Amino acid sequence: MKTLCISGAVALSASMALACSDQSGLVLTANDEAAPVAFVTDITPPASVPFDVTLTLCGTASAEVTFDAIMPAHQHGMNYAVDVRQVTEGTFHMENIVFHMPGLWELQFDVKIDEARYSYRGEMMVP
Amino acid sequence: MIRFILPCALGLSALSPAHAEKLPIFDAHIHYSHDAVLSVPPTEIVEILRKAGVRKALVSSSDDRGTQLLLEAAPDIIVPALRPYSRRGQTGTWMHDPATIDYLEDKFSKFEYEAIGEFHAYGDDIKTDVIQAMIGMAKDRNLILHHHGDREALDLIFDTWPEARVLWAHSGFEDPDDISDALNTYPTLWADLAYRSEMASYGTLYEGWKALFLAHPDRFMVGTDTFAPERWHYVGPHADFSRSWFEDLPDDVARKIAYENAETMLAAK
Amino acid sequence: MRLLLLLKQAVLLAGASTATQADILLSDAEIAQTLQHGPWPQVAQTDPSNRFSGNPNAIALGQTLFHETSLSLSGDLSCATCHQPEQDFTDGRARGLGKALLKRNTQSLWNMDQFRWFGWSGDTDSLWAQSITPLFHSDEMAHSPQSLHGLMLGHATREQIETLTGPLDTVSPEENAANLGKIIAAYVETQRSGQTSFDRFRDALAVDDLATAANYPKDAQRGLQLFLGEGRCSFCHSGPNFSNSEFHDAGVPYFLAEGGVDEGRHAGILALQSSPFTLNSAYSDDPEKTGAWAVRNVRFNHANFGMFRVPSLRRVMHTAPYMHDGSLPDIAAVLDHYNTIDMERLHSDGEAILRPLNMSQDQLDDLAAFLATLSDDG
Ligand code: HEC
Ligand code: HEC
Repeated sequence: MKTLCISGAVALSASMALACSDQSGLVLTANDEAAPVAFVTDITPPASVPFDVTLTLCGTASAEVTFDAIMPAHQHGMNYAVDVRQVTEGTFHMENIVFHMPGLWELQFDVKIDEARYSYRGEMMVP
Repeated sequence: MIRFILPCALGLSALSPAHAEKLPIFDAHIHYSHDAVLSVPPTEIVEILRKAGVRKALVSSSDDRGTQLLLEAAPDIIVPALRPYSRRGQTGTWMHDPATIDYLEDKFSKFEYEAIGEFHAYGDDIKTDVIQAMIGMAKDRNLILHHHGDREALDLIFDTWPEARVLWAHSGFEDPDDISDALNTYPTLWADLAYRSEMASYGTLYEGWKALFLAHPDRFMVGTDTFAPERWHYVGPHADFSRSWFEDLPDDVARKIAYENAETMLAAK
Repeated sequence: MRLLLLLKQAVLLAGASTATQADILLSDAEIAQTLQHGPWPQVAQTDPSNRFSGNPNAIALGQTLFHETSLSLSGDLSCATCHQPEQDFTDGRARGLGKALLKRNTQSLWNMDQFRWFGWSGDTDSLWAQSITPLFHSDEMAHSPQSLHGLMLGHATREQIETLTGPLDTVSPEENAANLGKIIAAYVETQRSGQTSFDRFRDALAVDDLATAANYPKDAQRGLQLFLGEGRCSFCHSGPNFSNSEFHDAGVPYFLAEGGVDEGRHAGILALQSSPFTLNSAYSDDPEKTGAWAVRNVRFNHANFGMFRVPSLRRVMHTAPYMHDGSLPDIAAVLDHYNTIDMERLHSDGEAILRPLNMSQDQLDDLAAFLATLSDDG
């Protein structure tokens, strides 16, 4: 049996992502000036314990999001794929992220909006 | 609207392909270095390769003796490549050591090879006298270059020798877009997928990788990369892993990646 | 010793807070790192996937079953044969010995609720599932689900079991095994190690009680600094349990003397795939399936081959020999391993953490002194 298994990927059409008036989160760096403003919940992740993060894509009607993360200093990634799901319009929930070591982690989001593809980067420090 | 979220349920058969007939494998990235020779004898190696359904293997070894031992034990399987290292642990220094050239010349005077490599070189390393001389030796003998390094180094190799046949180890550890760009730029570039598992999850290819394989069906091959002696015992599991995601490709593309591309690369002299 | 303590206290009483400060070698950053290794003990939580977790009757019965040699097909092997309670639940051997020599070192059973994966290769994702494994392992207790079910129907503990599980003759052999695993796990999970001198040091630092913290020996402090810094140990041996509960290549060879290799985490993932007893299965008693994400989302990775779970370092002084195959006889040998680690064993594009430490004997002694303070809870 072949199941289609796209863990860590989700596609959605949200009418308009609002919730961008309050950008109290960690603003992500995009690879392209045309990319919509994006930010995630600003948290201090626990070491080797699952945690969740919410991504907000401002003013975006429809997007496909994948998430991954690496530890640049040690050139390794995560041991688990991450479940991505939409919570409300324009916001995505990444569930069960595990940063299995203390130190600096780089968050990587790939976002597909219609035909355009953007990548975003952010950093989090695990104490 | 959410189009799909499917949890990666672990199926019993996810890593053991359903095909009754195992696709034969050309393992294009394998080492039999001095420490492995001491712990896994050639007879056992040959048994491992045959059991895994590996019909050809591009073997390179630090100090080369291992390659010659295997060639003797299984000339039908082993395709010899010459590594420019007389010991393991020279991956960052060899290009600054003129003794490398003597070493290569000595080996060429004694044995036949199909490739030079796997050698490690990044960026400007390619401009060193040692690597320039090595590329010259490959050119004289029309040998494949099995290169482990970044795109910049790859570009410099093709600057030095535009007609080179290059096998890019680990596909440069690049992502599908960048691999695709390199393949589009150089028609005589092939890419091995050694030590990479991110193309698939339990038998299902990720979209970007699948598109890459379908766009360049003639350019990829698999390899186990036996970087520690114990990993010879991974040749079988690795072949099974490859076969598990081959199932997600059209039969002809699967066959090409399994062994035909490597054979075509060797024949393309 | 007594005198020294008294002297110290006299100094403290005199209010020499600067003298006390000088007794703490750690920088603010190192103190922050140290705090991450506690508090200890952690608050005990019941296991939602095991309905007997925390149940006193199950704990008592689990303890009985743990010592029951009748649970093995041959009648001469119990859990306690290998996991000897008076030996920190180990057997002192390099590799466990059942009907035959096992592949691996017998792990101690302390603080099991701190782990996400069990066994050296994480073949299971719950303590109860791990407790079933030896019952069916051909070199251990060697049962089949059917023979075990048959045995329990006539077993002296049947009545006690049935008060917990309901009638035994109506459950399937698999469910019977799951129930037994859960009852034994209810006992095993109560084995928690106590507060050590490191924990008292850490707790004192947490409340800025430098006077108490200063009781922690200087060599252990220096060892802790090496553990957190130059040694890079705390990347893997992290958190209150000194393990991230994940799998790494610590550069330990994994050939088996009898031929072949121990595939480590690679085999663990295959075992998980074929196990009927995961947190994602119907045998989990947790309707929320808490924790099942791990088995659902764990990534297959070539590096998994020959990787082993990072051991906890609590009570480590009492659990020699060390490593998955017990190949290192004592702590000095482990430290020597890290001091002279063979980089050629590690992939050049793999995890870049370990490298030969080249520490002096004094530094190694300090590290050992620190590790000893994780083991002095009595
Ligand atoms: C013949 C010796 C032997 C017997 C009998 C035995 N074990 Fe073990 N135990 C081991 C070994 C060896 C390991 C490491 C196993 C591995 O990594 O595959 C282990 C691992 C474990 C672990 C995992 C600990 C951890 O840190 O993850 C648990 C729990 C456990 N055993 C419980 C039990 C229980 C309960 C029984 C009885 C039903 C039992 N064992 C019987 C030798 C034994
Ligand atoms: C990259 C992760 C990593 C780092 C860094 C690391 N360890 Fe380990 N450690 C492990 C793993 C994995 C094992 C088990 C290896 C095996 O069995 O093959 C282990 C085993 C041990 C053991 C044996 C415990 C037992 O019960 O068998 C001790 C003691 C230990 N490490 C101490 C240290 C110290 C001290 C340092 C720093 C100098 C350190 N480790 C650094 C991953 C790590």
